[in-house]
Amino acid sequence: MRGSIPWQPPRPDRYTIAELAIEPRATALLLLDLQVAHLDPERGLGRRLRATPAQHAYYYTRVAEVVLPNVARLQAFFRAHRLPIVYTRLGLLTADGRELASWSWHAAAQRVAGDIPPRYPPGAPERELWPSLAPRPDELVLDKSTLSPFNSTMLDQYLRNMGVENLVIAGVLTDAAVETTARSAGDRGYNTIVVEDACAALAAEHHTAALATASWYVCKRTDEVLAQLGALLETDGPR
Amino acid sequence: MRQTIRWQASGAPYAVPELAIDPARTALLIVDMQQYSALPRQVLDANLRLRDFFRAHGLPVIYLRVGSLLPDAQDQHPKRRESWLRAPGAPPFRCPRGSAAYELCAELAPLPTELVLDKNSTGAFNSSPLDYYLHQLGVENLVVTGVSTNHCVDTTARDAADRGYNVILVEDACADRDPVAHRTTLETFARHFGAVRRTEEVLALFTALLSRAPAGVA
Repeated sequence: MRGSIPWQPPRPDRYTIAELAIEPRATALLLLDLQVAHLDPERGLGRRLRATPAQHAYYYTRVAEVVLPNVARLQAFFRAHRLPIVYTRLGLLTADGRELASWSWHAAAQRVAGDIPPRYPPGAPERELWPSLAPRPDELVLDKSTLSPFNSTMLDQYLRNMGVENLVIAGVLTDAAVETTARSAGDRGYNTIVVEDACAALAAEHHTAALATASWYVCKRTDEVLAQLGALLETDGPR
Repeated sequence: MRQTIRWQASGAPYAVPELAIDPARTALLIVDMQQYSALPRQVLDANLRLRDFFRAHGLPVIYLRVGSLLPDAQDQHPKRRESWLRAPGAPPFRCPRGSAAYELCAELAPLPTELVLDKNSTGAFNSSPLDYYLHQLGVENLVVTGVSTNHCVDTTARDAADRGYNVILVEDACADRDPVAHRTTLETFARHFGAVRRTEEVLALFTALLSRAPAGVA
């Protein structure tokens, strides 16, 4: 049943939508790129970040202490209410990445990075989702070569087929995959929520600056998402 | 003919320091410079200089326009229809195609041989066939300018880079009312998505590249 949740905080310089009427059952959780390459401090991005120890320490501490616990809470909530969950993995679709145009900076980024590329090929352990996520057979796992699934998967089509109107987004990196995805989702009309304490960037300033300039999405904490959606779903009764 | 140019500064873990590009496969993308957008004069001038350069070298110039296709904006998604560019206490802002406000800035005066694409959302890849036309034109590299830096320019430029285009964002040919938001877009873009350059640098770079390229650019 539709109900209202707080939406945008007021601003003196522009009209904002203070409350939004939503259908809580039309909500999906989108977990972006929570994979070994991005979450294991000793592999993938973790190996690259050894060159910048301060970033390494900040990022992996936040991943372990903030992001993963809140992602687990969100996942449990969506599963308990039998709402859709979509996971994405960033990687190549072919063994040698030939699907990336030879003239594209994407192909150059793969070459320049040697054996620690931004996108791992199929079968690479770095490409796998973080083990604690353990997606279920009725949850979508989408492989993509771009940061936003809207640029290289049929996610939009699947969401519309499933009747999804509201997207709750968590994952990494806040100012890369998360922000690009959230901007597109909001721009396509989804009621889009980025869960600020279930995302991480390589530096606190990157994270904060990205979310401060949110375009067509709002930011909420995990507590707020669970409380606000939970209150609306309770009035539906058990499914 | 591909030539190697400086691309991204080091710092980000996957920064690409140098990139081989074919300058003849470059288009200029001017975002939402329309009658209703209040533009600083120097930003308009920067755009005119870039546009005249691209025109002189026979490279594609693409203009984007944003608004609604229908007078009551039913074609926009509901939150946009309700709140886009709306001032507090004012009715919803309407800028339908066909209205004077929707037209491109008079100074731009596109030629009949230049592409003008309409969109009804912030990012061109979400509401226009831009990707199709870039593919048709054989474009690999995009030079992006226009307004506003943190909204229509940011979302369009980052989606272009995400789709594989080699994107140069021209920092002094973009404008945003919010200087912090303007800077945030430029910093994030340089970190994760592509090159950020000033107008003078772009003109000097492409002058050099095209002088070394074979004649007969399409």
